[in-house]
Amino acid sequence: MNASYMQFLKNRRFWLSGPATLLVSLFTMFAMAVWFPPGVGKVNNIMMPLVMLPLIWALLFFYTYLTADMRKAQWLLVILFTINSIILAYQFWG
Amino acid sequence: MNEKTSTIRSKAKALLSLHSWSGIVLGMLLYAVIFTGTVAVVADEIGEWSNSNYPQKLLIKTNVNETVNRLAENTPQEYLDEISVYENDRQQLVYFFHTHKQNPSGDMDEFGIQYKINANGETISQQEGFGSDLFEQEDTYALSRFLVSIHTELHIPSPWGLILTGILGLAMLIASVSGFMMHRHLFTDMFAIRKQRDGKSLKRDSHTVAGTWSIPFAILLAFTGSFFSFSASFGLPAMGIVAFGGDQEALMYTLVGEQQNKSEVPMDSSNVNLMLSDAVKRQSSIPSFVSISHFGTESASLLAFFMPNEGKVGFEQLVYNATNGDFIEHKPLVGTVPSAGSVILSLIYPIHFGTFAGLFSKIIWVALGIAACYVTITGLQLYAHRNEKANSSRWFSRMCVWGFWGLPLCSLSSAFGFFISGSLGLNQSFWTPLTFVIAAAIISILTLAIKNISLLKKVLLVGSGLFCLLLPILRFTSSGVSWLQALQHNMVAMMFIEFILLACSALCFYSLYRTLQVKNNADITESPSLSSQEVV
Repeated sequence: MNASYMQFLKNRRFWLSGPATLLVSLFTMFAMAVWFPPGVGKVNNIMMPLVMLPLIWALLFFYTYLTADMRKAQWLLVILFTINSIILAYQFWG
Repeated sequence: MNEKTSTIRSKAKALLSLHSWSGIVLGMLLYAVIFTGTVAVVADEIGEWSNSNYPQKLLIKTNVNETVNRLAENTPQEYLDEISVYENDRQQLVYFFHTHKQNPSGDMDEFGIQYKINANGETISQQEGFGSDLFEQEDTYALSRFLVSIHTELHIPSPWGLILTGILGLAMLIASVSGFMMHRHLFTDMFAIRKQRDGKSLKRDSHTVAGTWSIPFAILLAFTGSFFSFSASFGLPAMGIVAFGGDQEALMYTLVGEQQNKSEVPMDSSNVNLMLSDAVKRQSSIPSFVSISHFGTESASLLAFFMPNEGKVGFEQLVYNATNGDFIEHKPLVGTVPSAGSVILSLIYPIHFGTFAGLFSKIIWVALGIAACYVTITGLQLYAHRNEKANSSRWFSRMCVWGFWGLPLCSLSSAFGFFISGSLGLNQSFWTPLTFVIAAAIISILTLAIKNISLLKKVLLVGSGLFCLLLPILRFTSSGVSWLQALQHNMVAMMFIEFILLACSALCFYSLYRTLQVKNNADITESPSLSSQEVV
């Protein structure tokens, strides 16, 4: 395989918009089951995160892909990841 | 100012690159999902057409109450946990007496005895097993089920097929949103086909126009489609782990909205027919299915499920107390009381499948689906044109013809397999997918054997045109239901599918005629170049 096809692996934006965005979106969805108001029907915290996953992913993806300030995007993902991880950790072990 | 212009330009360039790559990398699979999705919109109609059937309204025309009581007497007590009743496409009522337990795959499933009862109340068949297995073996839906299954899972084992279609949904979201953001002249682009253009330029204009019209639709479908795929594959179980500590049963009870501890004290149930009549009166339509829980106990209840009705967009569920026949409530799709989550969920299905205004909305959805297919085809063809000098591009063009023209032909072949195996008394659930695979193998061999891509395209066009023409004849010979009878019985779904097939046949032959005409004109003016033969 031509090495030039693999150049994207060295691109920081690829890792930010690809795996990192996906991971943060998934963690946000899981954590929403904890903090999203369940409502009187007690189902909103289950259904709304599932519905919102494609939206959260698309927002983060286009932001990280188009931003000129990669550092800012990187920090945003780190903050989101940390907050949601803490929420999940508290839910399981708290 | 200059810096601002350069930033805008670099963003536009980045969006174009994103738009191209999201299409090129997953374009062929995306086409498969969009094409089969367009077919899946009319899956119910295909089901009725393939069985030459029309709804008999057996749920209100037959004595459901008498049948339920008769069957309940001969069915083990544990299967009276839940009884689902619906009319299939072979003019029978299907009664499934079942309980819930884990299937061999480890998933919670329905397990019980399925009875098929004809309009005269006679038992046609009786089968015991898991609900998922019984549905898989049900020949009535062999064709429509197979076509829908390609759309939802691409026939890849669960959950990977669903995850892949979810990723394809996200790719479609990227392509459509980036397409939208790239447009500087959105409204003029809607009508931007320039008559004097031909070849690559015309293709680019066609891609832009079809893409612009279908952008809102593509965004909606990509979003709802990826929701369906991800929530079914891992989303719901994962949310169950987080919110209920892995107690999937508690999750299901929360979503279904049923109390966990039901009284099993025996008590005669009320007349099912009266509850059904009341539900029909309230909704002015026939329920798609009925579910009776805890039959013969003091917790008995009946749920009537309705597809979107006239003037309404979402589903309707009416719940009755089956011990005294009283109407209890309009139940939300999830949970016990109305919620935002339930409203959104009840809107997503009609939006994705275009069922919100009956056949009218389905026709619009099919048209927009065809436009989205066309956008994918022209997008990949543009890529092939751009790289027409590269050796790999010739293989890419060949692959485009194989996929674009091959998939419809394979789908039509599976319908052939369905009818022929049905006529021969063979297992239609087995032969329908197998015919698809055989057709795919033959088309792949033809793609490799026929050097001239233009000729290959013509062969596949002729095949599709012929199959579209022959399928109504095959359907008639296998069922004996003529168009005159169809008109007499108001079989709208069947006539609709036959009309679509004949229109597609005419389109294939017209397209072939145009291709031959263009070639003749080109032969007169100049000798054909290699690139015009190689590129689609």
